Amino acid sequence: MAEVRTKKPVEQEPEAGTNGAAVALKALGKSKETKASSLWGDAWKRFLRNKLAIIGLVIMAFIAIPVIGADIFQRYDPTVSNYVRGPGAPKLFDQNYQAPSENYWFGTDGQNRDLWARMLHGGRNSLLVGVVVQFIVLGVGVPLGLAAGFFGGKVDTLISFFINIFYAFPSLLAGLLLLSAFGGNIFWVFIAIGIGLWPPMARLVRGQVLSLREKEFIEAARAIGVKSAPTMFRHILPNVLGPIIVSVSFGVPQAIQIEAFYGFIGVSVPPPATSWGQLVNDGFRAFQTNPITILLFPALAIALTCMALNFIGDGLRDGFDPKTKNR
Amino acid sequence: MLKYFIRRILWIIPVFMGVTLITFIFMTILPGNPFTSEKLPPAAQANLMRSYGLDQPLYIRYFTYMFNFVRGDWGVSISQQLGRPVTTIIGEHIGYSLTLALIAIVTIVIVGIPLGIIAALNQNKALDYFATSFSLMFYSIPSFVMGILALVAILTLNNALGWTIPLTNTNPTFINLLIPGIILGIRPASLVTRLTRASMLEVLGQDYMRTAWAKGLNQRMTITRHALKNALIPIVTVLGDEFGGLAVGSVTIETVFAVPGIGAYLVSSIEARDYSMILITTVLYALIVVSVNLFVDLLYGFLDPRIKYTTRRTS
Repeated sequence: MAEVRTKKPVEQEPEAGTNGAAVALKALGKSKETKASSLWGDAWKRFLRNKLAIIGLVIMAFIAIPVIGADIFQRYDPTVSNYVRGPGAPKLFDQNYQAPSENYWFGTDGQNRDLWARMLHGGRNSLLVGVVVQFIVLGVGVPLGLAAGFFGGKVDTLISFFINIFYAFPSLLAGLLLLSAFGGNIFWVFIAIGIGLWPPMARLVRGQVLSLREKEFIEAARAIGVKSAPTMFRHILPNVLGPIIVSVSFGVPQAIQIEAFYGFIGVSVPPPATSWGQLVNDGFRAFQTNPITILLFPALAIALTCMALNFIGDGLRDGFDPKTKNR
Repeated sequence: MLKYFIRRILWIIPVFMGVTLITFIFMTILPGNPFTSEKLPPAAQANLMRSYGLDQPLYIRYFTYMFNFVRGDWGVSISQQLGRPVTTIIGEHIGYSLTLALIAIVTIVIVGIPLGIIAALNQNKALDYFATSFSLMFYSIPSFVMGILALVAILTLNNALGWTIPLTNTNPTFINLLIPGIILGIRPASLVTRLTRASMLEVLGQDYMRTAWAKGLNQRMTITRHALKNALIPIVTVLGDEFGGLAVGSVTIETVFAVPGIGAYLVSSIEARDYSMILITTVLYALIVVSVNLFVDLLYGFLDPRIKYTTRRTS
């Protein structure tokens, strides 16, 4: 935003940066009369041009709404076995691994728990991990990268040393070790995944800051006596925001994938809570003699979610980072 | 330039020490010990711990390990295959993992790069949309989910139609590893497709490409000698990064297809608290990542002679 403002002093965006979507929409509406375009408005326009990104948004809406409102959309308790005992009970209800039916839309699992409800609640954990991990990545990666790039010298050497070590450290192994040690709590799932994802973010921010630091507008800020903290947060950080947003948007599906793998090998959230990865694990153990849906539904849920999120990320890159169409 | 590379090689030492230290700290916080699974009385467990030096404080064990590592004594397995040297165990399993990685890389090179070139040459045509959409789609599916879906498909085909598509067993041959290897390669291959496309498009717009066309070179020569050679430069870095990912990604594929590789063994090592196995595998992975990075940087300078290794950039 800072850079945009210095370039085009005409434009007036009072709440720029406070609410990206609102500002973007406003900019879109105004675009007919005035030629003013903010960073967010341009980004939104370029985003809309990416058809796959729109498809991704629609798919995500279809997945996220029932998953977030799991308590409303569920038809049975996800943790309770639906055994109906007693003389008058229909036999059907006593059976595990039921195929999808009118009662159980997605069938039931090995303990006759409703898979639809488990998918919703498992999805909530999966999405939660995807989002919360990004806060860890932002909270650790951005300040470290910013400090390393901005201050340079010994600070940079020290931080880069840490980044390099964690970069070389096999993150899946680090996560596995952590979860084996502290398993049984979703908090440690966040940490275990975040530990492997912050070094690339720190590296990205550091690289961006290194090149921004040499730009004229930073030199100008320094020349008029702006102190380092304001320079860092008011002038440099807003200009790194684009790449950070793009990186975060790809980080969410990445975190979901990693969680799915941890779930698959059984070290993620503790039972009776579940996640899509754990449901895949449950299904994988039983699919050969039971309805295949028990494996297919969670596997497809992971694939579809990650796909939609990556489509969105791709659109966001078109929006915020139009020059680099890599990856 | 020589100075730069000596510096880079020396840089491996602190990274190695740091990685080992972190692994030690992680292992210290792991509850239980390698011998809890055996129904041994606590006194006997303590004896065993002492005989392997595990009762010592962290820093003593760390420096002992470092000292022994430098001497070439990398320890013995203390749990799963008690007393066997870790190097022997690694040797038994690493072949499968390397074969998987090799098949994956071949997949990347023979599928990813040509598809990217085709997409770039047909920019904004149906073929291009097809290639880019599919590559993004395949990039999004986690390799273990892809592996599971493939496994389900294979089993269904084998059962329903009586086909005999080879699956892995305890002693897989190259044929058995073919499908897992290809699946391991699909995800990075689709990344490479997108990269190759972007990079080719950039190169195709350069002045020297116009010159090449103008002087009447045939299409094949122009594309391979002039465009591809330059377009490959950024791809090499990503391939290097991906190789580290392949090493780790193989953990997931090995688990799904029950390939007895390093990755699958590592998972069971952690469960068994086999400290020396965990350590050696971590160090191995870290060394692979660091040396591949170094190799890529070397290659980078070779492919792009404009690069000079004078200042130390992000290593």
